[in-house]
Amino acid sequence: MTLKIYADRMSQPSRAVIIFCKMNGIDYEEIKVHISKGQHLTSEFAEINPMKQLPAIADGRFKLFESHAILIYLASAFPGVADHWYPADVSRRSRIHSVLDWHHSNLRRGAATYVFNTTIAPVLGRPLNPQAAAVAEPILSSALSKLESFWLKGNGRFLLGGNQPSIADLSLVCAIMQLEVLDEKERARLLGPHKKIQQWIEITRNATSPHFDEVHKVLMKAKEKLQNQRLKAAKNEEGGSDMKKALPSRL
Amino acid sequence: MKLKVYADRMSQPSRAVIIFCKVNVIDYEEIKVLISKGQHLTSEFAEINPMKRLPAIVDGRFKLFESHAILIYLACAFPGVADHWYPADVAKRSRIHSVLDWHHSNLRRGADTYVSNATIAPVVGRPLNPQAAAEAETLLSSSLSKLESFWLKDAGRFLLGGNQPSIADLSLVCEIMELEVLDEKDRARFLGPHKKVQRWIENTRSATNPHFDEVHEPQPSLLPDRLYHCLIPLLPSAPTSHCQRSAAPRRYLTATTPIEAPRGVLPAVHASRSSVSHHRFGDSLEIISRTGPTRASVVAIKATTPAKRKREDSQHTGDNNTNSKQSSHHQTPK
Repeated sequence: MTLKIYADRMSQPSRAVIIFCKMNGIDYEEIKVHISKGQHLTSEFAEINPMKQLPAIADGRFKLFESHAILIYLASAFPGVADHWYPADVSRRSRIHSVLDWHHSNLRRGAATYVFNTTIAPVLGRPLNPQAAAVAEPILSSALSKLESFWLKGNGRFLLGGNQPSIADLSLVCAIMQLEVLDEKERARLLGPHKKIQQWIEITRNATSPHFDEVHKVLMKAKEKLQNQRLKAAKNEEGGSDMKKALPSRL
Repeated sequence: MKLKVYADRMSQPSRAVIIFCKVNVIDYEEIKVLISKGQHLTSEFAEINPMKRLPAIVDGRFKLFESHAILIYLACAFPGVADHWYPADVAKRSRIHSVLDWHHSNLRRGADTYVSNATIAPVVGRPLNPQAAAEAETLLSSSLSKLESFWLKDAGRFLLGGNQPSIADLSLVCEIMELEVLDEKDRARFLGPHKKVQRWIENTRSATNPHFDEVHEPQPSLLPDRLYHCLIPLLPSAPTSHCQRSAAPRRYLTATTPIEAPRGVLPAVHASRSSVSHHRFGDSLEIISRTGPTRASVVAIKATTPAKRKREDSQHTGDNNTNSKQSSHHQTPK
């Protein structure tokens, strides 16, 4: 029975798992569960993952959720996965665990909460929450600084001084990609200071090409849609102020 | 060179790592870094962990932080650690990763944020934050429900249906122990409905005693006054005369002790403090080494400029057999 991956490509950890499978030639069936339609909240999906979150996998009778656990499982259980994804060496592996653990409460928490509460929430039928965004922003900024100064220090092209990508690079880059949907200025403000991060994103993207771009198409479409909405809103504002200028001359 | 564990026993993940070492007779030095005194914020400690968090370890030249990564490393790198702590079986191991990952954003976040904002914050110089506490409360309640209904749903005595404890049991139970500092009613409100959770805490405690109790004992000599007085009511027999002593002997939760009964907490390990030296990070103390009843030793180190150490290879070669990829062909797990 083929591995089943329950995913929504708008979900950062879903993307990491799918890209990993494609890169490693792992045979799978992608079962789309649309968060925006509330499909993750159905009792059907709760049979797969009672936490009602994505991604989740079913491999025969074995079910698993939490993307880091999934990535490690796939790296361990499927043949032909190159060692650099999840090294056998205990120390190197431990460092990957360390950054993946750090990620939960830092980059993931900061980025996902900030993007959700400034931009994406309405797409999922929820209101924007500037207060929650304000709490998340320093977490995000600090996480990006730590990435730049610590996790990417040294001469390697990837996290932890690696010269080839690991599951940690996939997980964290997919998380940062969510910032694509932000307003251009916002994104520049957050990422602009961090040259190593920008390089690393590009390097990871190239190393996992063409799958990286293909899997991120859904996100890029959302980005385009949101950009158009912003442009429209800006034009409406301008139009309104033009009218105000015109009126006094008519009176 | 001996494994060094940088810890504050007030920190839940620090306790999990220390208990693990003691239970598995891993030889280590405990270097106490007191959060309440800001010792984790020093530039000295940043050399060990730039994230300025506890616990952290140094094994030869290898430094590591994040308690789950540390527990996994210790289980793999040190000989004689029984398989149930971190099974070699890929499927079992994956489930442990799953609950440990879930823990970060659920039980850990809920419990730590709630306790911090409802009780402990002033001890470390921060104001209480009722709004943050209210949000954390929802998360904590939901996490405890998920523990009761899902992670403990199978027939075993431990998480994921296990009949022996894993690193996940240690990590999560140490987190829940933080609720001990809450007001009696508050704690009963959270834990009262969850009988499996209560039994599981007791199972984990029994399986790791006497170390569990010893590591959870507040150490008055190391506590700032404010925290000490906050914890006095919890001590079975505090050394000072003004503390309140309970008439009934205090026991920890058992499956037969309903949460509503007088709360038994942290039976003390008496009078052993005088035989153990504690190192406070940043203090100048003489080098003393004591070997306690286990092979672990607590060492006080003179905190002057450290002598340059010889470069040496790590003493512990990984037991790679348990970590190498399990199969040359894909096996669907049971």
